[in-house]
Amino acid sequence: MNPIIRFLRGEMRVRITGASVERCMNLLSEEKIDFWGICRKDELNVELFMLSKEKRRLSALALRSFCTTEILSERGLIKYLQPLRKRPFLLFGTAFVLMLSFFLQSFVWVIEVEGEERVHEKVILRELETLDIRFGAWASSIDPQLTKARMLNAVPELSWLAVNRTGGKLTVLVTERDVAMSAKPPYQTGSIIAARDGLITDYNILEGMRLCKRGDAVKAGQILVSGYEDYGLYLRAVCADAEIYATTWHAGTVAMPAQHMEKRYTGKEWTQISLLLGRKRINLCGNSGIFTACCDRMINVKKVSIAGYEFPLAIETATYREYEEIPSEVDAAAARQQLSEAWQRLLRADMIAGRAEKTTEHFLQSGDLYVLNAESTCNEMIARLVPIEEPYKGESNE
Amino acid sequence: MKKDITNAVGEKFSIPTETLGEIPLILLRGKRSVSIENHRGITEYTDTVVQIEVKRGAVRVVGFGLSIAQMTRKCVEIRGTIRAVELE
Repeated sequence: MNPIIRFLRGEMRVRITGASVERCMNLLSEEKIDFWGICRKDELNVELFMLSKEKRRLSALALRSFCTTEILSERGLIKYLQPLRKRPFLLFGTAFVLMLSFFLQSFVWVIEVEGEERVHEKVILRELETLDIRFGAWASSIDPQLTKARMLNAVPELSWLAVNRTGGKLTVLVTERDVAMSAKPPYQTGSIIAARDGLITDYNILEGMRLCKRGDAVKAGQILVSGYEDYGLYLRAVCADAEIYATTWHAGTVAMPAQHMEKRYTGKEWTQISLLLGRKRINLCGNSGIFTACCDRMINVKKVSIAGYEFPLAIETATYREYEEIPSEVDAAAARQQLSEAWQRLLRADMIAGRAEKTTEHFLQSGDLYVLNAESTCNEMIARLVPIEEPYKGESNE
Repeated sequence: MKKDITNAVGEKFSIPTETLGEIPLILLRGKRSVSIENHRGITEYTDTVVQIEVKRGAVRVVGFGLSIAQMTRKCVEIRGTIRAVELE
């Protein structure tokens, strides 16, 4: 009998003692009981191996041949599993956990994105969801090649993508496209015009024919650099390129209400604790209703992780603080400061490049408004490129 | 009677008679092992002599360091240093 089979079925070493051990052995063979490894110790003793299940029959047969038996040792899988018969829950629990661990690996529980720099992780995860790749998805249904093709089509910023699965964790590796600066001009032919009125202070002409000089006063829309270069005998149409700085003047008004609603906490607070399992939220304690009162909500999320591996399990603690809005007067000095900063932001947004050199402000309160009238002198880049719609192709000699 | 019928059937259909369970088949492998099929049990078993009862007699294996490696209903295998196999 195969040694492995013997181990699985369980074997025992038996000593048969008697005057006629041969007769006992003959009885065993007649009853079709297999035994092996027979060793004659002396005239009265024989040791042999047989299967553990033949214990009872061995005793009866030995008795018939006036022999006694003694079990010297037992070994096999049966011997190790026998104590577990008294602990069925341990046996079933172990089997259940083994099956569960095998079964759970068939689903996706964690999705990690690696390699992203400009493209946000949420964008990639959202696109994966449209392909049914999400928390709890059936892992075998994910086709890496098909996923790659669809994702590269859906997210043009990506140049390469790979999907690797390890158990219940899905790792998405991405590589983004290199954005190279285009050396080509935006138009085939174009001229530089002034974006606003100003006094030319400096210029740097890279392409085109200059039509202004330092100290010139220019109006908005005036051509500063022409897209036609005159070489005497012919005109060459180019896309003009230049930086032209000028002194400009900006005037405007910014206003804000003199009264605003101030938040004052009532002192009432309550806490809501939720369990986040993947995308599912389970409220553990606290009211889960929609709050009609004005309240601030502060959320603290603690994710469960072991050795750096994050599980799709988190505890979210939301603290609500009730407040009421009370009208109050805005301090004039604070209002002026805010309005001045707002005016500076507007100036910067209005310029491509430049700075405000001098600003004159006039602050006043008009009714329920604080008003700031400001005038600024700036030095900014006023060159703007416009295309020449129909390039001059020259006159015919006919 | 039964022996005659068995032999006649075997001869008629060219079937080896040992397969019909009658004649003992002794297979000797060098001097280290001997197998005996169609036996009727052990009558003597010592370190130097193993006697196996067969139909109409016995097979006596003489040597030293003899042991029964395996024994089933049909076949018994003896191992050791075999000096002689005697038919009685």
